[in-house]
Amino acid sequence: MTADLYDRKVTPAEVFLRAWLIPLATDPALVGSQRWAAGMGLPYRMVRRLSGPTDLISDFPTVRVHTFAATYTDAAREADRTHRRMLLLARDLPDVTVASGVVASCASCDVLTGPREEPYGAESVVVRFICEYDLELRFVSV
Amino acid sequence: MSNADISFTVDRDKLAAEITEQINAEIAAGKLDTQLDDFMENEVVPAWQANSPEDTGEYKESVEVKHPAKGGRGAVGSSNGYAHLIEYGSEDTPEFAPRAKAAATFNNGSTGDYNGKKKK
Repeated sequence: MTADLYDRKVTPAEVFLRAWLIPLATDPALVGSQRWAAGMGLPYRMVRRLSGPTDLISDFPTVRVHTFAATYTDAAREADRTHRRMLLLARDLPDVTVASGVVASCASCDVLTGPREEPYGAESVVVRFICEYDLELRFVSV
Repeated sequence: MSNADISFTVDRDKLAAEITEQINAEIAAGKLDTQLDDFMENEVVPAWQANSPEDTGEYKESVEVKHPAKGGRGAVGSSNGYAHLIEYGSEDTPEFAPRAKAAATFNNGSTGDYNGKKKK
């Protein structure tokens, strides 16, 4: 069964950002969209799309990037690397090849919140920093 | 118009600057504070609550105008003790992000929302 669909699509924001942040990690599994849990390794980066509208031309996701590490010092350093990687994205707006091989790019990246610590849980042995951004991702022909 | 006429046009930049100055003076004098209070109470708070988890309802009910408008500035928030865990998630709490979702609805702190339209 086939159905007519819009002939343009956009790379999901989480897929796009994970691909962009993976060079920061020693292992691709250390960048994901799942909450960190014991045994997942550190430092770990989690990308989440929170909200944002879309139209026929662009998607405007608000995204949050969490950076987890074992100590405050490590988390602060890794969160700084996360943020500087995002600032590079904002400045250069480069093409990014995602896991499927599709080349995607964003038209803008605005910083909403720079890195800051947010508690993750009393029992946890990790420190977490978060930062937030507004992106514009363009639809492309399929 | 003959060659002896002098034509005049409105100086748009000057006019825009004068209007901006008038608006800024009215905002500073608190003349728009009632409107901002009404906006926060009747649009922002409901939008935030609509994105809040139900559970006991304690968090949802805690969302309120925390700082009434003064000189064109005000704030909506939650005084709930675990609000940060609901917003950012934790090892055993999903990241509900009601604050961020409400903020995105209202263009991250502007009274002009875009409801699915382009922001720029």
